[in-house]
Amino acid sequence: MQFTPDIVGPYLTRKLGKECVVTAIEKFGRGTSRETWFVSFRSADGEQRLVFRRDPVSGSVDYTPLSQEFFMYRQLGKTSVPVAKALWWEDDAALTSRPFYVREQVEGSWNVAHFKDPSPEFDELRIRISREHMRKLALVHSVDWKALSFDQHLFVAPNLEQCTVAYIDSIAASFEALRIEPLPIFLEAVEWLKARAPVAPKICLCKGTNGLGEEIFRGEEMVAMSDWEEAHIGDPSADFAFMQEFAPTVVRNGETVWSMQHAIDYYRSVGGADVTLASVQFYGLVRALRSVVYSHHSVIALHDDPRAPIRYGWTATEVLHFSKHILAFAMGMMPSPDPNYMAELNTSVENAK
Amino acid sequence: MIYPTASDILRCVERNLAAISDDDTPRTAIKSTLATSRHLLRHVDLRLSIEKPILLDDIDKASELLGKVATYLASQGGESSALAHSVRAVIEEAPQLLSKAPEEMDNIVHRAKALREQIYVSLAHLQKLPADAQATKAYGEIRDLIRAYMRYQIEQEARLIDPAFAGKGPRR
Repeated sequence: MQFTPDIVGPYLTRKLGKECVVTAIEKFGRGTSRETWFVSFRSADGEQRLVFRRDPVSGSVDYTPLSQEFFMYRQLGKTSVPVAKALWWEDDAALTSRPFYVREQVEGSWNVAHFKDPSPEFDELRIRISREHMRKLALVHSVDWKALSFDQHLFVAPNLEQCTVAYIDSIAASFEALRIEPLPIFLEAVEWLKARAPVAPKICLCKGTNGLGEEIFRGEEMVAMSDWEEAHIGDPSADFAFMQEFAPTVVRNGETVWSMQHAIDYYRSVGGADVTLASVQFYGLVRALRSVVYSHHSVIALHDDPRAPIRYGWTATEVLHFSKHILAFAMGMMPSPDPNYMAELNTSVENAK
Repeated sequence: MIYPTASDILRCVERNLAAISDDDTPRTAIKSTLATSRHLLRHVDLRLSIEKPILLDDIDKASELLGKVATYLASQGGESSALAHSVRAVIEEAPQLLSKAPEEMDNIVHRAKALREQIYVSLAHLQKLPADAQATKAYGEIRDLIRAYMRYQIEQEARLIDPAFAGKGPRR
């Protein structure tokens, strides 16, 4: 199904049982794993905006299905975690070759004005945003995942002691299931990480990807948490391992007034689990391992289908290489990558200076 | 790095450039696709220039390593000996394959991948050996050799990545 006004308009008219005229459709420029389309339409009830979400034509680099993401939104809508309301799932083969789901569009932006402005006058803003993120993460980690049946759809850690090892095993299994190229460094890293796996402080719902670009803000309030495709039931430390600038280091008069440790302390003070900095650093490496897997999925998509999004080309090359380098560095095999390199990777044409 | 091949990348760039050519494409999407395309084109340029000698060196290094791995595995008996046999079979296949069309990139890629697969399979096997076998000096030495090969591989890969991407602006 083409997401164009002449096709989506009649579709919405049939689906919603009222005359709908599409006024604008735009494909979201960010996001690598899946397509996000913003649809604005007019009906007797006024102007409305929806989000259509589907896999790219060449398939997603995620190893969890789109239907799981829809399920996450449906269930999280029953909690105090801020998410867009999931509306319906569409897989009618007569209408579309690619299933998609529709959710409400939450007013706001992924971008926080001045957050990336290095001027010290915005340091307090950065700290407030980090605190807001910590409050919302604590909410996520307190969700009753059994009552919401998340354990029937997501990876679930067996117990506190085996939590991290089992999670690493699940990552390794997903790599092996689709592997088209041998990556010995991956095997080496799996063994190395499992030998050093920490005991989890708690087993809870983990979001997976966090930080700038993943959530929706209105002003300084996080009004919707997005990108649940890496969600799992495991060690909450995992959610601190991929913060994308939401645990910034702020130094004032030679004193560090905010950092990852400050963010963790604040998170714990608002009901979060007993996460430690050491665990977070360990999960940063687990994150690199996972990055090898989804980057390798990009490799497969690109090799199989040239219609793959151009970003898969980047993920399949530089991101994959960087992930391997991080793991090799952690294992003492290579020198450290440039400390500023991660920020460079996270810069897009929208937030470039 | 074996996949994506330079051809995989070029085909993807071409399709994505075509996809943003219509008038309705938002400006940000155009800028993002062009930014990524420029990085990838620089990368392909490097692949065309130096990938072949890198892979030929890799074939030599992997063959040499696998010879030592096979010797170690053969000394362990049982399933390890059987694996040593299959590793040696792949090593022996190498020169014949390359001599048929030594300049053909597909041939070189196929060969490098086959050898690396044997390193991967051997490493997986080594990781499962009993603790007493893993405690020996010989085991430690063979694992160190494999690590040295991994390091070499990542260093060579960096020659294809760093000059194309690092310091060259937003990736997306």
